[in-house]
Amino acid sequence: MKLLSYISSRYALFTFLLALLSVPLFYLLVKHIMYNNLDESLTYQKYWVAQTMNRDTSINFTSYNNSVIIKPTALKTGSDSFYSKKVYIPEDDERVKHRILHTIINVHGRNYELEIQKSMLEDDDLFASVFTIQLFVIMLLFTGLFYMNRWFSKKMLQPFQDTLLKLTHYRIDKHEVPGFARTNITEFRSLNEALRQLLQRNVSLYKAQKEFTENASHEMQTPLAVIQSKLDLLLQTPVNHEQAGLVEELTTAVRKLQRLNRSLLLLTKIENKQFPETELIALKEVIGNQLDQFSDMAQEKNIRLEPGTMDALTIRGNGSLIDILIGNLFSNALRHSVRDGAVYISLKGNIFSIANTASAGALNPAYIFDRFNKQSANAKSMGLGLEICKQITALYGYKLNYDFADNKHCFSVTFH
Amino acid sequence: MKILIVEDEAALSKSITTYLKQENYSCEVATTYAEAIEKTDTFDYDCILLDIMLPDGNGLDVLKALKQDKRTDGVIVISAKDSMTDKIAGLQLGADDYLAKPFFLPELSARVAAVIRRRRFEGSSELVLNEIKVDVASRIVTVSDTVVELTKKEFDLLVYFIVNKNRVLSKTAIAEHLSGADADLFDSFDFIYAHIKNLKKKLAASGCDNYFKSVYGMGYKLEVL
Repeated sequence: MKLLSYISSRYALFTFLLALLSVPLFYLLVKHIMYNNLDESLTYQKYWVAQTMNRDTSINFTSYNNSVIIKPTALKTGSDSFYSKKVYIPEDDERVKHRILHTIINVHGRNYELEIQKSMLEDDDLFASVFTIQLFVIMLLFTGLFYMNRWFSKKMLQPFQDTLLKLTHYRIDKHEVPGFARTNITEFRSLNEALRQLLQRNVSLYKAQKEFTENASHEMQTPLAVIQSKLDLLLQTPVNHEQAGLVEELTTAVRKLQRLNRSLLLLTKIENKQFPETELIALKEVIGNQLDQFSDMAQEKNIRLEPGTMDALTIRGNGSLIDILIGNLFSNALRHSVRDGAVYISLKGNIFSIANTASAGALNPAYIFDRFNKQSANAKSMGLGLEICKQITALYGYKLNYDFADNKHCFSVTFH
Repeated sequence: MKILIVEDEAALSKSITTYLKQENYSCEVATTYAEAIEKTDTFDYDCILLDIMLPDGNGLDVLKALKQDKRTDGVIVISAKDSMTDKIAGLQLGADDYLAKPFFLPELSARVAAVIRRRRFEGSSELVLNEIKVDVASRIVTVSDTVVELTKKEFDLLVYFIVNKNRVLSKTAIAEHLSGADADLFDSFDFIYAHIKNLKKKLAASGCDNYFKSVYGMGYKLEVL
């Protein structure tokens, strides 16, 4: 529900209830004023009749429409009594409501009963009039509200809509902080200012975080290089078997740290779009090179590399990134393939797929591409390879898929 | 053979110096950009190992200065930045090779040897080890003038060992040199053993002495007395 509709619907409901309540109120008020007026006028008439009778008793007071009736009476004089009564009017053939003053007056020592009638507005008519007027006012009010709302949402909310649109399309990794439209409305101005500051803070945090990853990775490479070089030198000194084993294990750990660093750096760079150069790449060649490169590894684990259909496909991208993408999928397949298993590679149409015999069941596709998410017990795996693949495919708009069928893990990349 | 090591990390340059000195290279060290410029202005080097990030400047600027002076010193860029752009920039500026930190010293030594070979003999380079002659450019190996047919991997292995002769080479270093990939993908390094066995067999068939020594628990060594 729109904010304006919400507010105006509340206003409208309140107005409507108020108007409804005001109908009987107005009715009672008008009725009260009318009675007062009539009673006053009747009292004047009474005095006029009494004065006239004092001067001349012979006047026939039964006037037009029997509106004044004077009868001699034995009753004592008392206070005036006013009441309303329906009186039959023969001419109109209907009963009309009248205000009646009934009193006893004394003229020349004799008491007369005096009754003065005045026709008055019907209750129904009065009520109908009040109701009609109120209804008319409500209608006017609602029409006004409707048009004002439309105008507000168009004109007054325009800066708000502008801000909203810019925020919807804003991506911290892609865009500059947007400039919001100027507005005179204080709330919107504060909102825009708060948003601007928030975005600026986020941008600097985001930058700092990116730079941290990059710098930390860089800074770690040099000490690692020092350790590695010292290990190499240590190996040249007379060391015994046990010490040699220690050196080898240290070397392995250093290499792992180094790869971790490189992978993190690579991820940061992909995220920062630091691979702007593109070229035309024949995928068949890339796959061929990787097959060559991994043949030793496959042989060593006694894994069969089985290339299937290899269609010709040329894509445009960064050569190193495509190498890394295909290479990572290869090493992933080899790493997680069982001994004496097989790796099936194919390039059909625009889909590259690589499948390896699984040692256990399907992986959870929800987490498989997440950073540091390891679903295998392989201590040599870092959990960054697939994340890198995902980032590269995302960069170029390719689709990376995981399937499990036939006891095989299958990763496929759809190139567009 | 004179080598200049431009590297601000003293511990690392010391390691490199120690290793390369044993190969009979004479090494000098520059720790800053200014020092590197001063040294390269004064002397010619066979090979310069150039770190990109220096405290007072960019190593690539040293390379630019060298190329402006039309110098032919071999240059290997060594960088902590394992980024393609640095590598490409380095090679485009005329560096002979690029090596990312951290590296194996035998690997560095092999690269240095390759650069010097290319510079010295302008392509027709030959490695000689007693009766073994290796023409690196045409990839022909002869033992006492008999040509030995080697696979690509065996050839690479032989060159690597000759350049690092009398050194213990760890299996990890050998594996990474041969595959160019991460050694940890291998469950074991039995394939190295297989390659070395084949290489030894082929060399022995041509009447070559067995120089390969397995160093128990560590790796292999090409021992020439």
